[in-house]
Amino acid sequence: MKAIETINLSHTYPDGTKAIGNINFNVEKGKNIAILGPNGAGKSTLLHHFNGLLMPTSGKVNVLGQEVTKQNLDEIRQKVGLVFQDPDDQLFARSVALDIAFGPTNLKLSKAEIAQRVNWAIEVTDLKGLENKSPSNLSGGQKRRASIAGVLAMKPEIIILDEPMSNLDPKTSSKVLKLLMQLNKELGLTLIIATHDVDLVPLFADEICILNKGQILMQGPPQEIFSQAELLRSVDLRLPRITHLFEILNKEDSLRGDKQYPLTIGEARREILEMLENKK
Amino acid sequence: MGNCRSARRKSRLFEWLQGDPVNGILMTLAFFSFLIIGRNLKLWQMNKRGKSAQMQAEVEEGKSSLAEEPKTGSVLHRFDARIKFICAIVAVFGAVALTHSEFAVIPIIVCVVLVIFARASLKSYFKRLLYPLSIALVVAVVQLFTGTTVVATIPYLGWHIYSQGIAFAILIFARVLAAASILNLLITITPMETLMDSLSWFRVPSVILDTMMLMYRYISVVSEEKARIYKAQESRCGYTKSVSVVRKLGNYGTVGGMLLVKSFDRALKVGDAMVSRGYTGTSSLFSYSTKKMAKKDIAIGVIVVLAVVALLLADLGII
Repeated sequence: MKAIETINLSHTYPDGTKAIGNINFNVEKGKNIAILGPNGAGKSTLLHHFNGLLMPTSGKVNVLGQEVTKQNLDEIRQKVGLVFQDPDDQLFARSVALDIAFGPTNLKLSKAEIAQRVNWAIEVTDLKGLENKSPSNLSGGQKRRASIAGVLAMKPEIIILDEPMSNLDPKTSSKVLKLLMQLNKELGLTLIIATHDVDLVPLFADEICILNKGQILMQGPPQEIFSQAELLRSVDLRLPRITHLFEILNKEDSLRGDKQYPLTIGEARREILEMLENKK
Repeated sequence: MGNCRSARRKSRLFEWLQGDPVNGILMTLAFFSFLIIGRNLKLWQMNKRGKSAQMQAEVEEGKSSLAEEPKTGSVLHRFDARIKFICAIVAVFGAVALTHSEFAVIPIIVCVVLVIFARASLKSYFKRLLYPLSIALVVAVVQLFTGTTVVATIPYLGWHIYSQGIAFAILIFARVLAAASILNLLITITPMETLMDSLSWFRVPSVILDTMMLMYRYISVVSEEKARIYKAQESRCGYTKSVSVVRKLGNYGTVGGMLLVKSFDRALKVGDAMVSRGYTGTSSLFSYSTKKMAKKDIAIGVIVVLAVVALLLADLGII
C-alpha cells in the first residue's frame, strides 16, 4: 500500500514563485525514503503538502489512499507527523511533557490516554528525567528528541523529518538516526527524511528521491541513485565519501572492475577484505 | 537677576517636558540610549579587567535569570502561589502608598532575607533589580529640580536643586525599590508555571496566559538570536573604536529590525508547527490547574497582609 502518493503536484507561492511542478512521488508503507536536493530545490514545500500545511495549486496528494482535502485535515495530521528543522519552532510549551501532550490534547483524547501516550513517547525517545524541564534548558540533541516525541505521541503512521540531523554533533546525530531506525523497525512507521547529508543516506534509506528546481530528477534504491555520479554532481550533490574513494580507486588506479561501488563503511570493509583475500 | 534667569530656564524646561507627548518619547529614547551606553561601558570594563570569555558571552547574550531553571526546594517555593500573589499585590500597593522613605527600607530588607532563606541566587536577584531601578533613577533625578528651597546649583547650567525635590526623589526611589523588590521576590520564589496556574485561578483569560507563556518561552530564543546577530556585526568591526556612535546606534537599530523580522518569521513557523499537530485555534494552548488552598498558607497570607497594614499605619503615625 502506498503511504504517500502525489499526482502532478504543483505549488506556486502567492508572490509567483513556482516551488514545485508536476511532482509524481510515491512511497510504500513502512519504507524509509530520503529526499535529497540542493538548497531551494523545493524539499520543504513538498513535505508541507504531506501534512496539509500547504495545499496544492494543482494536482493532488493521497495519504494512505485518502486524498488530502481541507475537510479531512485533522485526520491527515494525525496520520502524518511533521518534525520541523529547528526544534525551537516546535517546542513552545513550558515543559517537555506538556509539549508532548499538545498533539494528543488536540485529538481530544481522555486525560488517562494523553498521560499514557506522553509516558510512552518519553520512554521511546529516551527523555526520562527531562519531562519537567523547560525546552530552553535542553541541549540540541535533547530538543530534537523532544520534538520527535511530540509527533510520536499522536501515534502517526508516517513521520516526515525536515533535516533531522542538522546542527547536531556526530554522536548525537548517530543517536537520532538510531532512534529513527528503531521507530521504523519496531513500530513499522514510514519515514520521509529531507536531508543534505549524503553520507548518512545509505545507512537508513530504502529509497532516495532527488529533487532539483522543484522537479523530481530520479527516484530509486540507493545503489541505483549513487551509480549516477555525474547526474548527482550536475545538481550540486555528491557521492558519499566512501563511494567517492572507490570511484577514484577505479578510475585513477584501476584497482577494481565495474562492480557497484560500496555506499557504507561496512560494505567497503567487506570489499577490501575480499580484495586482499583474492590477492593472496 | 541670575536666579530669576535660571528659574525661567528651569520653568521653560518643564514646560517643554510637559507640553508635548513627543517630548516624553524623546526622554524615553534618551533613557534607552543611556542604557546602551551603560551596557557598552560594562563590556569595556569587563574587557579591561580581563574577565573570562564565558562571563562576557553571558552579558552579550543577555541571558536573563528568567531563563534559569527555577529552584523549587524551599518552603517559600512550595507556598501557595495564589496567596504569594495576593500578598505581593497588597505589599506593592502598601510600598507605593508609603509617605516616609525610611519605612520602605523594611520591605527591602525583608525581601533580601527571604531570598537568602529560599536559597535563591542573590546575584540574579540584584541583577533583576537593575532595570526597574535605572528607570526609577531617571524619574528621581528629574524630581531633584522641583521645589521651592534651593540647596545647590549645577555649575554652568545654572539649574537649581531643591530640598523638597531631594526628599521627593528619595521617596520615589525608595518606593520603586521596595515595590520592585517585592515583585522580584515573587518571581524568584515562584516558578512561572505555578504563577500562571494561580493567575488562571484569578480568572485571567486563557488567551492572555497563553500569550504570556509563549513570550516567556521565546525570550531566551530571541535573546540568543540577538546575540548571534550582534556577534555577526561585532566580528566585522561593527562596534570597534573607529566606528562612530551614530553608526553604532544604527547597527543596534539593525539588530532590532532583524529581530522583529525574525520574530515574525518564527511566529509563522511556530504557528505551522502547532497546526501540524492538530491545533485549530479554538481551544486554549495550555492547561492550567490549581490545588485546594492549605489552611496554614491562608493563615500566613493573612499575617503578611496584616503586617503590611501595620507598616502603613506606622508610616502614617497612627500606631
